[in-house]
Amino acid sequence: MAKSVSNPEIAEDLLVATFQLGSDGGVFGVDATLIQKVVMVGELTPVRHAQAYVAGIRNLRGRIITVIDLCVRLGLGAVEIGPESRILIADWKGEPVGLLVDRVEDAVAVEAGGLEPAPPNLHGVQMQKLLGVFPSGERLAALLDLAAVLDTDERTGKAMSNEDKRG
Amino acid sequence: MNKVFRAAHSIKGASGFFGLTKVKELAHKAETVLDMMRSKKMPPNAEITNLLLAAFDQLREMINKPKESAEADIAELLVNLTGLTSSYLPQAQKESLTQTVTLKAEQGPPVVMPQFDLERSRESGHYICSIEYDLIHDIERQGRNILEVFRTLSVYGEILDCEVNFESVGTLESPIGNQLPVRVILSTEFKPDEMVALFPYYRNKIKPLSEPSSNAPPADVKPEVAQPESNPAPVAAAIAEPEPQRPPAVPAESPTPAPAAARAQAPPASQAPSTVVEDSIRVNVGTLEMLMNLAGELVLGRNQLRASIAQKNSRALKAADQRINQITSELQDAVMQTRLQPIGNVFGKFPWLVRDLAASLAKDVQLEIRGKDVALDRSLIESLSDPLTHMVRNAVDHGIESPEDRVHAGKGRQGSLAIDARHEAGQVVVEIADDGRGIDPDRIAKVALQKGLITPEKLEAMSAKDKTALIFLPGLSTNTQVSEVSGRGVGMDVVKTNLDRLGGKVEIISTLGKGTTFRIKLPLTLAIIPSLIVSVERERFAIPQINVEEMRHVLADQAKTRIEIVGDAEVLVLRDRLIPLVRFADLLGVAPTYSDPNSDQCEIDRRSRMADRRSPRLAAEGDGKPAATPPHLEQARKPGDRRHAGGALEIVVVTTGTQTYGLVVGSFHDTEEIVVKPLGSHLKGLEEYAGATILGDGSVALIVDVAGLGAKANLDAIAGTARATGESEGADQAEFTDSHALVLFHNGPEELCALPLDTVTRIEHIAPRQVETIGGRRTMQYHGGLLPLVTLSDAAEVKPIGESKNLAVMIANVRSHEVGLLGAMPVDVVETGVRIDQTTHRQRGVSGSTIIRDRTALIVDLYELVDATWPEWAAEQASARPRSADAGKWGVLLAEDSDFFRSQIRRILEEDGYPVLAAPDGESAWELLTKNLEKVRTVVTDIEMPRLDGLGLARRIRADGRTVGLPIIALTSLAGEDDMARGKLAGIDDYQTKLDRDQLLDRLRAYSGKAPPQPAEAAAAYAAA
Repeated sequence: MAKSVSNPEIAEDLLVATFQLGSDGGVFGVDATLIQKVVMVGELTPVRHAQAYVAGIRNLRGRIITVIDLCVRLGLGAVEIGPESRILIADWKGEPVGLLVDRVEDAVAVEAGGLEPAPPNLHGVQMQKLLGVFPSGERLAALLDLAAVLDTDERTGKAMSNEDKRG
Repeated sequence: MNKVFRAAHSIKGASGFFGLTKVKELAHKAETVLDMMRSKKMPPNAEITNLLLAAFDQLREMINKPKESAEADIAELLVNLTGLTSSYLPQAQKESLTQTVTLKAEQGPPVVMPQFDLERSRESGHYICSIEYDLIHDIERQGRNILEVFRTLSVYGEILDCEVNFESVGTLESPIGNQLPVRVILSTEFKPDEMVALFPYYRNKIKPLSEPSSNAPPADVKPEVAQPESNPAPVAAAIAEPEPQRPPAVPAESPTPAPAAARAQAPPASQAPSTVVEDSIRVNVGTLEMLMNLAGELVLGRNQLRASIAQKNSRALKAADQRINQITSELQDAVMQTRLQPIGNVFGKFPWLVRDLAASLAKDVQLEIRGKDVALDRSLIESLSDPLTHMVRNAVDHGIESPEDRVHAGKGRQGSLAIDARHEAGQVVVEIADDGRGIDPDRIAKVALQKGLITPEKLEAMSAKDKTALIFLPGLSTNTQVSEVSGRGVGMDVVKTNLDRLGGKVEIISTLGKGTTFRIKLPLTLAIIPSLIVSVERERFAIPQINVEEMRHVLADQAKTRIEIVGDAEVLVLRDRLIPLVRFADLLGVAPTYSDPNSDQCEIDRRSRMADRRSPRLAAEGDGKPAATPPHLEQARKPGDRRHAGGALEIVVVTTGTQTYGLVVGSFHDTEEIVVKPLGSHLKGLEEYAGATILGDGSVALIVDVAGLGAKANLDAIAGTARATGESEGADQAEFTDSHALVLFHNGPEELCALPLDTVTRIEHIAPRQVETIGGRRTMQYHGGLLPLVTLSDAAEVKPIGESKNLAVMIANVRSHEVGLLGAMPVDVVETGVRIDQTTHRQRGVSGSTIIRDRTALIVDLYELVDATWPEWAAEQASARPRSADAGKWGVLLAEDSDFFRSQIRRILEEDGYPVLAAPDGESAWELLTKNLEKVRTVVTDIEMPRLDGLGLARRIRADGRTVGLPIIALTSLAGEDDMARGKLAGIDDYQTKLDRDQLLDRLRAYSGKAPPQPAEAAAAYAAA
């Protein structure tokens, strides 16, 4: 799914929602068309025994959404919830998922061809979760592959490996 | 049989009514065959049954597509059915099948009917008469319903035919829409004039039919024929559907009745594309009306709310709040009702499916379906259809062997397939069980290995059950060879996927050569469930009320006696049960001692060893077992121990139906109706949560999955040790379903008392002056004699009965005396399922207490009351009927599922010197019996019990050579004659009312008195059991 959705768009102009993650303030972005809205962190209910990257669940206008701590997910520590923390509500396979970030930056237009391959180990993030990098102000920002980031395979790894073998 | 016959009959009647001639013809033939079977003129055999089923299939087809029914080819079926009928008829009657006879009616066209019908009704001495209704004036305008009329009529006779009398419509000058006469031909044992007497309203419409030879009586004039009123609309409405209005004056339709009627009949749904059909739902009109009323009330409530807000009237606001609150819950219930459908809707097709499939595979399969009434959410029912069909098909196709193979394997030729649906603690369980060849786990594993679906290393670690579950792997299914080899596996992955989507689980229990059971567990995804809200360290959780058995508050100083260590687990001592405890905070890892961020990794260790750390004794043992607990956790727990030991414990006793445990929580909150919301994909696979909900204040709480949490807590090991009491599991379940009928009355104004209804023979209302106190004893005049009276305060330490103006006297037979128990009004009878606490309020005269309508009710022990007042009665009785010398050796096996009754009856028996072995259900009773064959002399059993009921127990006892002669006394509160007859059949010797102590003891004495001397056995031996 990741490839089919993202690639054609990278060939064209792309609007990217950018945000900061981690203590060193690395800038990341996701395809803004996948983001429905940005909300305050509000009250998060912890879910015990869930994966560490699940920050909790939250009431979003009567729906229960899972909030993913992007820092934990990307291996950048954990988001320290403060006045600037926000939750980006992303649409993932028809299900709204919250992305907890340290600070929301901007919406940046990335021109076609403005996206470059990600250097290995940028900000310590695995390459397969990145679509590429683009300049944001004076720094390089990393465009996240949302599908890869939100993939739940890690939980059900065994089942998938079976299918892979068959495939 | 009768049901099928009637169904064929109604189809015939209704199709005549709608002018569906082919349907009618076919239904008629089928009915004739059924009637012959019913009257034993034709033996039911496979050929006939198949033919009939084929006929019904065709009928269904035609009824579903009424428009095409006229074109359907039914000739072959008709010939076969007629052939079948005639082959079982005497020669003389054969012709009557094909011949018709014309009966002359007094008015309207003559009636043409098959001669066979006429002869049949004449044979049974029936009269044939015609009854005419006008659909508009007699039915629609009178607020009746045609079906109702048919039903009424069919009570009095057999409806031979029914048709819309188009010709009589045609002869009238009034507009066609104004009347719609229907003629019903009824074969009845009542004479026409008797029929008139029965249906006075139709006195002019019931007419005898005469045979061609006889003279018709003078014709009546139908008074209702021409009532000029031009409102054509109800015609269609009266029949079936809101058809577009017919032009009022089109008489041309009368010569072609069939198409017209067919059009009138065809429901709109059948004309629409099939997708629309699937989206519709049948809702009971009553429910719909209730919804309408509630919607109306809701509007009123809103108005009230707005008005009170505008007026800033807080009292009115409160009232409005209350009103809306009530309407909302009623509305919710009503909407839920509309969505619930019986699972029988899915099961309905299986008899056909199995029969057809078995016939085509030359197998013999007996299908048994249970639990059709289990109601499920509509969406579940629909999605369940395909997987179930698939599994049933598989069971017949691959599971059950051919008759030859079965005989080879030493089984009966006929295979059996059982489909069973039932509720089990908030879930619906559907089982599909066959007694076929079973699944060979090794073969499945071998194939999976060959196909590279699993690795050899993985295979090694697999149990037989895991291997069997491999049939759910997608790759395995595509290979047809596998299905031949293994017996199963075609499309099972699809089944699994479908069930997964429904949130269901499927489990396979298979014994090679013995059969296979697929057990499907479905959530009751009714979106709204009442739940208990609890909190643990400021986090709130919802526990579905259906899983909550009770809540216990264990004070700090009680903890030592109430909480014990059994094996390696903490258990709560609850009456006579031991309930394993799970500390929710520990399980979740939210204890304050738990701030160490690294601890997340250690949760599994903590969970399984939780109990160890709690117990000082085991902590000491734990030192000897270094692997048991990581040392740092041991330290981490210790402050926690002190915390728990210092404070009271709040325990929610939860049950899943198979497992009961106590969940130690921080505190209880309210019970709330919560709306279940699913958890996101990232939280799938967390068995301990069933979802989440939004609480009244907008915050989110997780819903606890009691079964999943129990599994996480590794309770299985604990549950094993908790069975120490011997009766734990069966009793747990039984108490939940147990129901007592109690008479409620008051003693003091604040004291609610209860008496088991079984013990009361009569209740009299009296005025206080009727009570006479003579010589310190109270009596009243009753039936010309003096009735001794007791009050609860005679024996128990309660306040004397209040100065009530109205007294009630509960009259009972105690120790061969009639006694009245005085109570204050109001008196009420309740059926209650709550448990009876036999410790808290136990004292002389009070056998226990229970909670009824949020109040504690004392349960009165009449025997103790009476013995306290008239101790001589007991002695009198004892001397009149001396205890059997053998009583001490006369072991009584008592099977009774209610804790309360079991202990009461046990006491009654033991007081009379019988050693008692008690069991909470038939199954454990049987076990006890087989282990104590030489001791048990009489069996006293309840009828309704879990696992194995009283009848089942009786049958088993009678079937076993060792126990065949044991006297069996059944205790029951529902001894109808039918029940007694069934009981006698099962082998029960005698029926006694529960808690009728004297009668029961009399019976026992009778048995023990005439029995041969028994080998001496120490009575003490029983006490242990």
